[in-house]
Amino acid sequence: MRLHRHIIWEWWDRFWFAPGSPRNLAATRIVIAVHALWIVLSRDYAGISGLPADLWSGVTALDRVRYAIVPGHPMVERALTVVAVVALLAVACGYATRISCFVAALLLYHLAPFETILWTTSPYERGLEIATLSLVVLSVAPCADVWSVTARYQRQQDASWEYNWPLLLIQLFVAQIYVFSGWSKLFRVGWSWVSAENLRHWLLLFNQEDQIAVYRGFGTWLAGHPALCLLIAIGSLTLDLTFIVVLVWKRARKIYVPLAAAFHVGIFFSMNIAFLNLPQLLVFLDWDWLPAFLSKGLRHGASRTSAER
Amino acid sequence: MVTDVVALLCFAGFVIGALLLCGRRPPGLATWQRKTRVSLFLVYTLGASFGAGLAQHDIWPFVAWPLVAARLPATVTEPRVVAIDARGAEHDIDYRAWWPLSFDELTGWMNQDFTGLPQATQDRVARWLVAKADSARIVARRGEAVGHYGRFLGPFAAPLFLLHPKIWSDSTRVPSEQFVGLRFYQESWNLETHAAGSSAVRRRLVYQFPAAP
Repeated sequence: MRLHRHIIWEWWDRFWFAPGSPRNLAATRIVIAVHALWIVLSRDYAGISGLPADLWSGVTALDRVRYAIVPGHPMVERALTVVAVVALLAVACGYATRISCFVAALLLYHLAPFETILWTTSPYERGLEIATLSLVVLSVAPCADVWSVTARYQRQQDASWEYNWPLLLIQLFVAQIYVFSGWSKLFRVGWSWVSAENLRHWLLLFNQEDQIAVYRGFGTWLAGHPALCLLIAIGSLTLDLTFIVVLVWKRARKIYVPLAAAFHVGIFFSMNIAFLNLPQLLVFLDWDWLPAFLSKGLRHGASRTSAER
Repeated sequence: MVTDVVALLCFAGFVIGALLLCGRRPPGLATWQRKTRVSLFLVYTLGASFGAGLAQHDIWPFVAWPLVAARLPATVTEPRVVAIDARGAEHDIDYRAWWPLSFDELTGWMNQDFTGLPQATQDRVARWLVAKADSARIVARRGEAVGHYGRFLGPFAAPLFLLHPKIWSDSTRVPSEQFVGLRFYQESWNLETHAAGSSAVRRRLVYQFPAAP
């Protein structure tokens, strides 16, 4: 028993607390902040607060308490949106990240539900779920030791376990999208989800519904090929259920991450669905190549200039 | 209700866990002690996120991600809101007209909550929706952009989860008559027969404003 505990703890320690790169954590901070800014600046949460009271009639008191929402105060929500934007800019620049990440996380938790609260308390698929969780994690992590406005005052830049666990946890949040998406198909439908007919129906729906269909050609063409539909159904469920291996097997990222990105681009054009978390796949990249690449580029540029002289 | 409470407690626990982690570190805290604290936070977070995902219960921001997790029947039903002009003709409405509401949130709300409201409330909401659609129509007729999706980021603004065609991007296709009413339909059609060339759609009128005499 003691041996088992020892083995588990050793594995846990090796997995979460291996030395990690400060650059990868800093890059994740920037990706999460810029992505959240992209969503926040494309919506009007304050405007929803100012909608007529009749539209809010289905929102229970508990729903409002859960997200600290008091409808009918668009100016307050506008001010909070501005604070959220400033906090996210600070996160992206790596300024006072302990506070800026925490403030941004709490404000996103409050603001994001406005988008759907009139009929559902779960604003999932609206793009801010991963950012809300990740910003809480980043608020306790040394995520601004490099690539930040305060980086020159920091000393620690060597690999450390303190950089690894927050990055892994954020990567896990992103990987869970795929794992749970695959699991939900089996949990709610069973293996019969994997059929040419089912996928064909989904494709047909998003291409026949004129209120949704922006792109029709690709999806309609796919729907006309049952063998391809079956292949896509098998492929997407396999991708979903196995994506999580990227956490333990870094080489797999070279296949899985581009594959997932291509998968979402395919869904965009065939089903007219925009997967808003797509840019967050960048958290799986190894950003340590960037400084070397840049300095190599600069050296190359400098040597060319001196040769021309 | 239970989900709301559980979700709130889960997120509160997550935030408190983070606060405890970043609180003042006692001097001389060994690495293994620090790792133990982080581990407790990780175990909690794994419990909340895997709990939501495996049980398929959304406790946002811990999400179950049920993306297209259904078996779609051949016959589907989708909502449609149309505007009625002064001559009684029906017109589709550009999805951007509902800004800051999105088309999907509006139709989701109409499907779920609107039909259960008292008649007077329904009419008040409908009057507001008609005014909103008509003011968007006037803007679109002038050739200007409807809604404010790109007010900060222009064409780089985040799209909605489901795409929608901008049917009023061409001002010549925008209805010229003022909107005076609306109808809310449920439309059903068979995906297979539609794919074979049929355009048959069964429409069920759910609500009309103003009410038919």
